[in-house]
Amino acid sequence: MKHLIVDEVEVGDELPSLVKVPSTQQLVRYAGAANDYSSIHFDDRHARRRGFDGVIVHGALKAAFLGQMLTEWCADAGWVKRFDVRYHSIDVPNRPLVCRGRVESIEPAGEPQRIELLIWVENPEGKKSTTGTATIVLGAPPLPRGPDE
Amino acid sequence: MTSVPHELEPGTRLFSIELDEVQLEHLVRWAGAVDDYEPLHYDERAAAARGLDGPVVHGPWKASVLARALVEAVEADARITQLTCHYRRPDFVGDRLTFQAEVTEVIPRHDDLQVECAVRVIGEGGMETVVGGATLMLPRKNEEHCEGAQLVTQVMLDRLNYGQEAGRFTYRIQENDLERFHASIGPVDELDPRPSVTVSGGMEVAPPTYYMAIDPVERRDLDIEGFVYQVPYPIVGGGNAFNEVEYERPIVVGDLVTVSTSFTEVYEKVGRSGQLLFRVRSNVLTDLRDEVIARSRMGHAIAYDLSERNMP
Repeated sequence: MKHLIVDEVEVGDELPSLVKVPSTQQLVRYAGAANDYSSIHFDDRHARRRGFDGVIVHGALKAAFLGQMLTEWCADAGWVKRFDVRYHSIDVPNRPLVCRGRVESIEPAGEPQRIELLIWVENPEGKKSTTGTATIVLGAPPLPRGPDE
Repeated sequence: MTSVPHELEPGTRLFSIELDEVQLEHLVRWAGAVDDYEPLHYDERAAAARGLDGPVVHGPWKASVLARALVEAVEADARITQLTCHYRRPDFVGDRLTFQAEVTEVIPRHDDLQVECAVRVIGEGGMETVVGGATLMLPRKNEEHCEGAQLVTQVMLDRLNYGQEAGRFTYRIQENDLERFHASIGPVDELDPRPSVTVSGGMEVAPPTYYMAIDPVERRDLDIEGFVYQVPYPIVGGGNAFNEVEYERPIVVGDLVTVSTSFTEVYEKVGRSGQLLFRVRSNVLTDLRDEVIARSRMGHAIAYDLSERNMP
């Protein structure tokens, strides 16, 4: 299922995987966009002093990749209400990271309906370096009446 | 018997107990003890009628064997505060079972050492038939094992305004901010370099992890964590441990978001790379109407090498 189709989604469905190969430039772009200037993500020498071979990928960027996978999948059919991630091991730039997800449960009780998902990032060795869960609520998200009023 | 507590660290095998053959008597005794006379567990014919090869071992009996072995593996005054077992496959009378537990985390608490364990039962064919986890609380008897407990000090907690609001900042969410954030994650279509901002109900909606971009501490708007460099041990690792968010509604362009941040947990535990200092912050994001947009928690860890003390 390329996108979430409410009438067809089933427990066990896998989300289309999203492959990312973050470059060091992307890390710097993310640092700027997220205002996250921890030097371990752009300063090779600093990273080596900390025992790494070079800069490492922001955990938050891996979470953002998972977020992109979720929002692309649910498109207009729902919105990401809850999202958690745990960072188990580091990833380094210029290697493919595969974002994956699986439908764990569909909660029919109550309105609006919710889909619970397992999400994770796999490194090239097939290890899950980041894992998490998310809740997608079906339908349009609640929006503020007029934020600037 | 494992001596407590300094041998307890992630990876320590607490026990591996082999039971050569589950006896029918084990199951009948259990049935009697818990007053559960479901014939599936002792009557071959009842089991056969359900398409099973023989009487099925009670799941809770296996859990109880794990629980008893956990307490025996440590000390008599250890308490099991939590035991979770998932019953993956049935085991049968006559099967050889192996019960195992391994330490996954050790967390010094105020009066206790909290020991998290992974537990499992391996059945006849070498497959895991039960997997789960347990939490043990061991009383802390002396300071020998918690020399690192000096990492968390009252001065540190005071500086963080522990348990209370540490800071409050307001951010205006502009279209450019979201476009930049989208572009940094990577465009949806690599051939189309325009960043795609999600639109819903005519409003531009921020990506689900955007809350991290308006975190006052990550942005260094609130510079409160300098104390981590004053701990007198070398830093040997660490980083983000986890991030969680629950939205009441998405963040949208035009929002004026006030973020209140507080340190809600500061503790240390033994890690692979050294003594880990954990700090967990909770943020509440509210809008102009003072309505909650989202609540988040962010966990960070820093590992220190306690064997080497920095010169002052």
